[in-house]
Amino acid sequence: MTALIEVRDASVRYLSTGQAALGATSLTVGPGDLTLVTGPSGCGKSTLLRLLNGLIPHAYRAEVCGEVLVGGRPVAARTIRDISTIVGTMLQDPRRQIVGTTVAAEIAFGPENLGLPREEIRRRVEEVAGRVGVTHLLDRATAGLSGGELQMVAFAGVLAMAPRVVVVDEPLANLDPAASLRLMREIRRFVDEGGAAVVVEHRVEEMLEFGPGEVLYLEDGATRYLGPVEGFLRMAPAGHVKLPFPTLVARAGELPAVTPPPRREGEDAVPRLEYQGVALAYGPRRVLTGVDLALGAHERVAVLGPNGAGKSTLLRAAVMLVAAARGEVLVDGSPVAERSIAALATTFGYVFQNPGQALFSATVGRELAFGPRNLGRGPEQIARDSADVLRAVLLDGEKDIMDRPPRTLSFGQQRRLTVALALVMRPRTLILDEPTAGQDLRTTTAFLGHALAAESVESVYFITHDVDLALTYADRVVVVDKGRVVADASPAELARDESVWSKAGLRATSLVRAVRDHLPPAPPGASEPLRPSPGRGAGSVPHPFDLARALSSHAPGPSGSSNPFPQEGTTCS
Amino acid sequence: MDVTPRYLGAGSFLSRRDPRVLLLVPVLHLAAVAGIDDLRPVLACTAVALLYYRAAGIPWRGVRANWTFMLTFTTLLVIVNSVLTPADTRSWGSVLFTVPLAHTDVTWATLSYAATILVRYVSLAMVGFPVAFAIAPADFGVAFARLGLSQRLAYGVDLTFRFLPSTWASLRETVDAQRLRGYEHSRSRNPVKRLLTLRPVVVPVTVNALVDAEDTVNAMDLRAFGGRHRTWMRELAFDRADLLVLGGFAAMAAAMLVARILGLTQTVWVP
Repeated sequence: MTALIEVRDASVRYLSTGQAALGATSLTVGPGDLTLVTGPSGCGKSTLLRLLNGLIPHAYRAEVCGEVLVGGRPVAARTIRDISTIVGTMLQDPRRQIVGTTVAAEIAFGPENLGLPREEIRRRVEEVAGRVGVTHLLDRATAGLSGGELQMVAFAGVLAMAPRVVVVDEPLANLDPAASLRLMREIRRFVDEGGAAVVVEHRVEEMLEFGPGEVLYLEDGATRYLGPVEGFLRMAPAGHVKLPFPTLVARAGELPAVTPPPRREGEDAVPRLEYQGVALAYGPRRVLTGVDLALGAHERVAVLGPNGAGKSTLLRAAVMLVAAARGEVLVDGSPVAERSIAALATTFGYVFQNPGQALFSATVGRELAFGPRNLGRGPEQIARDSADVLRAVLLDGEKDIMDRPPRTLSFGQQRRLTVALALVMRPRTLILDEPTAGQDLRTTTAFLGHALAAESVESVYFITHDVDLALTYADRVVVVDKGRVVADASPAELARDESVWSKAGLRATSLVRAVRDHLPPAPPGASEPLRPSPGRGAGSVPHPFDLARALSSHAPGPSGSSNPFPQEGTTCS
Repeated sequence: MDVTPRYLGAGSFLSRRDPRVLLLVPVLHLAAVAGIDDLRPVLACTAVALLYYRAAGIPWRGVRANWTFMLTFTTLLVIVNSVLTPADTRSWGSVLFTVPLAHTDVTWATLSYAATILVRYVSLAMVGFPVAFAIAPADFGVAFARLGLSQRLAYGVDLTFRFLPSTWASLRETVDAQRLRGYEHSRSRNPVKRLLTLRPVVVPVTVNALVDAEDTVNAMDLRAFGGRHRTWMRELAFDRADLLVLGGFAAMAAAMLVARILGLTQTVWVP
């Protein structure tokens, strides 16, 4: 059978930067194949996708060596328009991909561009809308859709082109677990019905459930592995990609040591942030109701929940970006409305999801000085604080960092800079909104490590979709769903509460199941066999590497007869 | 502030019309009322515009703020241009009163002319509002394309409606992010200084929009946009009601044009 895509020793060097982005890479994708492309940020995944869909060489100026064939013909000899009838592409952020004002217009966009007859376009719109379950949305404006709905509509728009293979860039990055599951099921169905898919994703564990036949692992633009999943799980660097917990246990001996970020101890006589019967709304649209919550001045709190549940709204109330429609929000015991912006800025450092949201200055030095200068601080103090925070986020080693334009930093460095911009205001609590969306495990670990270790910061509250991140780094997890706080517990308690995982757009990961199975609540007075990381309180969950090591040392032996975990290379149900 | 396009007239007589009708009627109406100094024919045209506006079924509560703004702005404009600084030819007749400070004599002719201008603006708003509120947002592109605009420009109109809400959201997000860094917009009277203080908001929003636009352009290319032939799923065809509406406004424009050429509407009417 003819391969749909054949990449033969293809390498790419962008002419704009002169840098090689992808070394000699080979890949073959045929009907019925689901291929996972993974690797840390900047490894060349996006460049490979651009090769497959023809953006390279047609839209990006790049030198390509080797050969890339789509449908048996070289991509260089075909137009993007032509390639798009074979290769459908889903971008990471559906908001940038969706161009139609209504769902029907969006799905019709591709077939319209192909100049198909109207009857055929209507037939395709109805068919794919029914297939992916968005028929009820057809007349809705795309601007009013949730993240999960947008992703399904974007996928419907791709399927309407009737491609034979879809390439999907980080489908899990912007979605809650339930929405991710719906999308990946559709992609799997597309493959099972004779199509093919190439999915770029670094959250390996979640992807394994959908049975990729082959994994391509890239690092620094080079192919480190190409083959079946089992082999990949044996070789994948555990600190770089998120692997299933049973794999971590099986490879416990090779896991790197983990140094938990230091924590600030102190008395929590008055909560840092308290909600008393609070309802939060944007104009007439009520987002959260009946919130009674007190977050401590020395706590690490994770806020979990599905897209659109009100997670960001909850924490935005702390800095008056949304006012309480009912009830009262208190900061350090006094109403937030009585505080000035300057007072709030030195209490809470709020780090937005998009690092580019606030960058405007010509140099990093001026960017760092902007906030403190607005607070009336002097140049000497600003210079001192700027140097301190750059050291805290490990950007001080960058050459001429103070004179560099902020947007010339890499994406990961920009994220660290946004933390520095918050820290330079000397806040006592850091609020991170989706701090690790779309980031690989290594970047995530480094980013959160910097945030949690910051010297002046007493507490960190972070919003995330990543269940394992919440369990690993928080002392306490608050779950928000359908405009209400539906759970508020320690990570271990939450993992053991099975009812939470069937609701609230959450899915139990293998780490959750491991906690449930192997970290039973300690009876009063008894010592726990597996203690959390030093400095973390009761109810916390040890770092997955520590937990895996501990469980591995408790396991009876290589025969595995009593090993509670599935064998390496299989997925957990 | 919500900048999402508001399709308030959905289901009305005008919303069922070919969108080209709603785009062409304001042009024809402008041709009819432009350059007329006599209040009476302008009132007659306004009565037609009112009927047309009623046919759009736009709920009052949805556009109350828009009308308030429009009426306030145009009333001030008319007072300044037609009452406080009238041309000599429009201030004949006995003086009713003199405007203090400006020392302008106000006559019946002055008031009649001011009323003519105000009513003209109101009638134009009446035929213009249905463009904003009675055309389905998804119909703009195809309507412009069928009026002869290039496919790319026509789709550009659709994209504007699509990305207006997200660009606005990005602006709000940036303002929020900068406020948390102690940013406040300058209240200085110096316009240059005021403009410069907008940099922390304008620069990130513009740069982010350009970065996002690159992804959007790629996404459009990857769905075969930009070919010579494009089918618009929405099929447009004038029906009898469309032709009647267009014909009516065309006839009115022609009649007013003839009257203007014959010099029948160039004199300010004084009762």
